[in-house]
Amino acid sequence: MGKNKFIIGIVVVIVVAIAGILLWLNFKQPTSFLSEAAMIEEMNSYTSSLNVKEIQDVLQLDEHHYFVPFVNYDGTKAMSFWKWDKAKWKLVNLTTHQKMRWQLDEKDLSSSFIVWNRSSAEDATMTLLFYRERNFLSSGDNHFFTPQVLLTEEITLSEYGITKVPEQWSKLMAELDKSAGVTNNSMFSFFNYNPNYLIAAEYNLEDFETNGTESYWTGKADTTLEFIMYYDLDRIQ
Amino acid sequence: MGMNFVEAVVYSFCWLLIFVIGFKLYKKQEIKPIIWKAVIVYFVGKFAFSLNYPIEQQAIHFALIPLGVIAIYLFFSKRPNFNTYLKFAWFGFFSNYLFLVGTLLIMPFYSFLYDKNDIHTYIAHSENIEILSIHPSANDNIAVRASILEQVKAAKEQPVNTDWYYESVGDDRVEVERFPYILANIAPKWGSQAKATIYVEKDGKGLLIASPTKHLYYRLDESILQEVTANGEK
Repeated sequence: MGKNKFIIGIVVVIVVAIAGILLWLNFKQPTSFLSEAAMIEEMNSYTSSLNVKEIQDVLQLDEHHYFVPFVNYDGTKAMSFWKWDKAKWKLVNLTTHQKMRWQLDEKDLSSSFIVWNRSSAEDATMTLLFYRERNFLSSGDNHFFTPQVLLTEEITLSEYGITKVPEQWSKLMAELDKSAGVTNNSMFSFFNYNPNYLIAAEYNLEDFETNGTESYWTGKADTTLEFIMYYDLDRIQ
Repeated sequence: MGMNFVEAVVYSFCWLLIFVIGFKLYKKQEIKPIIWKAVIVYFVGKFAFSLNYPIEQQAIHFALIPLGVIAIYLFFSKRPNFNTYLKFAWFGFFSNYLFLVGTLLIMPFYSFLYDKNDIHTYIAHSENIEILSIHPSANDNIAVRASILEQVKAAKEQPVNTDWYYESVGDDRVEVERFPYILANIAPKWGSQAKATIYVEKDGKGLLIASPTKHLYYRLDESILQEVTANGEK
């Protein structure tokens, strides 16, 4: 009997310790961001394709996310993405692409930022789109009509920077979500005909001319980092 | 997403019932179990492999294999008083069916209190109401009239027309959207948790209520929108 109690005691201690470590990893508040030297060391060891020549700036997106634009050894512009994860600052990814969409919360499109680091120092404009296609459906006596959503927002792109999608769009997403069926349940998906909305940019030939052909990018590490989709506004309307 | 009023009442009642039955079960035992142990055994016993069916938007869980009871049997069958605790484990398993019955009752009670096919279920309070433009063809200098709730009382239902789709696409494409606005922050009837996106027609006299399972269309005599000047005055 005494031996049993001893074993149960040990099991309890182990369970509490594991729970404590998990809680600590997930809920520890971010420490101050890394020093430049620490950043450079981690970036250089991430891939042999890139080597930091100069860090241009350190921009905070929110408490848990940082964007660090830098110059690559060959003079090309590059970007790095940092996230507070499991009680440490983690390098999410690196790219020499000039513009990306970073969605901080995987489940919430309204947490999207547009981030950029361009080869040109001259300002450029970009038209962001919030778009959902028009749709209709009839099933028996039940008729559904889903209006088109199309909003644009012009943003000015300086050499490098970040911009959050407009507040108004977040409000709109919250309203649009009210008519979405419960589809995130893994067991089954309810009947859902609602087309999804998306954030894109208006197609602009110059954007593609300035993109290097041998850009470095691995999309593997984080699905919340994506290329910006380009739409031709004339073809939508 | 919070629970609606009916769910809150039904599930509270289920837990109350479980407490009462559990207490009676405890009283009936000649050898009394330790209460906190019996409570833990109840929750372990409740754990089961179940089949899940969606009925309307409600998930029905049909408990099939009493995994919790099996676990307790495997690990504790040699302990003294095992048979007493086993009763609480089985009680846990069978209480799943109480919740099943509760879930089945929610739908009819809900439809008795709230009519999901009625505009007034979705538009009940207008305190923080806001109008959002969703299309380039929308007029940005508009506001919602304070009389909206009064006006909605006289709303007449009309069929949702899928021809609206063809009006806006095709060769002679009209670059307008029939419903270029959304009413934001409208509160539904108390306790209903009824969710819908509410679109406003371009003349301000039509409302399209898009819930996850049904779309309703209403026409009003007067527009719920009014024009405002750029500085926000009427």
